[in-house]
Amino acid sequence: MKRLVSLVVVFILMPASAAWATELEELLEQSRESAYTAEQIISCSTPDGVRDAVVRIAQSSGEIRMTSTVAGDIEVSSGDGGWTLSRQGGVVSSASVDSEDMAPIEPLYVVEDAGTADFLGREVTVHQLIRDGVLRAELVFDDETGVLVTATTFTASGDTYCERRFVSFDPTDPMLESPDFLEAEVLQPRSEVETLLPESVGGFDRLDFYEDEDGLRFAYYSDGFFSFAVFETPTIVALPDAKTIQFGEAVYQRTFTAGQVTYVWETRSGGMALLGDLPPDLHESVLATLPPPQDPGILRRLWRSLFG
Amino acid sequence: MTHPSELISAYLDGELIEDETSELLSHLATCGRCSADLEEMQAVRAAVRSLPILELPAGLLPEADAAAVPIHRNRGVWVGAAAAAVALIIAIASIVTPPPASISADDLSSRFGARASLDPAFSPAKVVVPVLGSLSE
Amino acid sequence: MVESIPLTWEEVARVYGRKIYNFAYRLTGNADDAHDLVQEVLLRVRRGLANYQPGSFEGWLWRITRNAFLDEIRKRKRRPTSPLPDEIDRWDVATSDPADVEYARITLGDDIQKALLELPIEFREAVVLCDVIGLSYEEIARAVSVPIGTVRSRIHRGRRMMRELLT
Repeated sequence: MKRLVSLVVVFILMPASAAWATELEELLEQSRESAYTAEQIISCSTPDGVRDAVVRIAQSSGEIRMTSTVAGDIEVSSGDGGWTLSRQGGVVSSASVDSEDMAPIEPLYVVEDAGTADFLGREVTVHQLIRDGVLRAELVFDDETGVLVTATTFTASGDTYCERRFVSFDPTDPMLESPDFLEAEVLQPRSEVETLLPESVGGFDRLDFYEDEDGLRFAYYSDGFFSFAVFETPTIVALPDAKTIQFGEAVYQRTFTAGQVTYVWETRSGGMALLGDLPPDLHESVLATLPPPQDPGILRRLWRSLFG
Repeated sequence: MTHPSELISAYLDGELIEDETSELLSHLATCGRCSADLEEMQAVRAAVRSLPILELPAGLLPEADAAAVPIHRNRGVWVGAAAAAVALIIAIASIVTPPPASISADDLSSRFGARASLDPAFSPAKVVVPVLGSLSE
Repeated sequence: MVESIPLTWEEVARVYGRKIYNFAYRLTGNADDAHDLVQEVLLRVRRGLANYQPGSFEGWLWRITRNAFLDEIRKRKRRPTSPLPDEIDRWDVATSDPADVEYARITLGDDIQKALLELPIEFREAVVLCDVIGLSYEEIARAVSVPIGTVRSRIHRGRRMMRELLT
């Protein structure tokens, strides 16, 4: 509902470029409303190496459920403000948030129709997302169902970052049962915000800011397609199998999964983290606008060495 | 009296439908021979599953850093006293030791993922399964 | 303008290579045969991708793998110098490296592998696909092109036989 209102506003005020953004949103909305099952291969070429995954997807009623055949029984169920992760059948982490009724982002992406094609025996249409003259993503939608069957993202130099592709697709509704969400409250976004996290970072606008009762604060940024979240945590989050990465004088810990990057670092006031699907060529500039890594101070180091 | 021995194997693999499961379990309650059968079948199954997953020999695949899907076997059913004891221990431990208050990488993923599901771009290209590292584990 | 967007065979190799290799190794009991089988499968995948009909991708892949394996068996059976017994459905341990027949040092893993090799092909592949590769009965049924009831029966009888062989 709320989103529909902001779409109309965009269209009236900025007809020309808004038509492009609306078309993208329309395509994506149709994709969100579809129901199907599929197998997908995700393959990402990251600075830390190749990241692959094979997942089974079931989508229905705005919820997407992904099961990974990698490293044990992992299932992610997401949709409508909720996200649940289960390992070996037990819920490991769950969150539920709401969003503010935001003014629409000024559209950064130009959507170009790149023609029709044939994929898995079905007719599909290819759309290219271009930002500042640079091709950033190629999205392939199934003509009949509107499902996003392939999505490829690129770095500024034209190299492929991540490629996601269905290898099988069944447009039958899987009729997902509602997942067992933990009794977590829906976290509401804050309207008065006091934070060091900037309002805008390289074309990414800060859309929502949250703080939960454990003192975890985070802000959600998006440029209309890619998105990331920046966290302020009481202490630095442990990131298993992380690589140490240095941008100039700033040192971070980083991991890549198939489709997402995570950076963690420490400042004098606590820990910080960044998670998102933005391509690697944007990471350094985004991190440069955020609070930099700092020596936590002698007292904190002492505390940590005593209590782990 | 027929012994539903074929059901035993499928039961261990978690492949029985509900009716078959109850039929088998009520039979096992009174049939010592089939209970013994179950244990032996489970041992064979476990034996084959204990075979190590082999790594690809060098040079077999096109790329130097060939990443492959680790082999994950379907859960099936854990039966037997040993398994039950382990399950009990795990259950007790989680009651006695409160979960640590520290935030994990999964907690970050869940909050980001939850908000991302409200994004207009929410799609199979946006949902991420947080598997660490690459597939060559 | 209509063009195909193919799945690359390198992608298939990278993602499924290890599974295929383990299937081949456990079915043949020997690394060289497994190596050859993987290469043969990838070759057929490469050729077959252009004609791949949409459906279950993994099912298609396993059918190719099985066919490559069965073709190799038929080839060996026809070879006049083969020391194989007349049964088409066995890979005699003696055809692999003679050092394998050093019973004194056999570990449990080797015992299990040897028992597997004693099973008729249909039982062996069902057990391997279930317990080594981790496919569900439905996936095995699709790969092997038999009803699920048959899969259930083959796995059951395969395990029965292994129990006899291992005790």
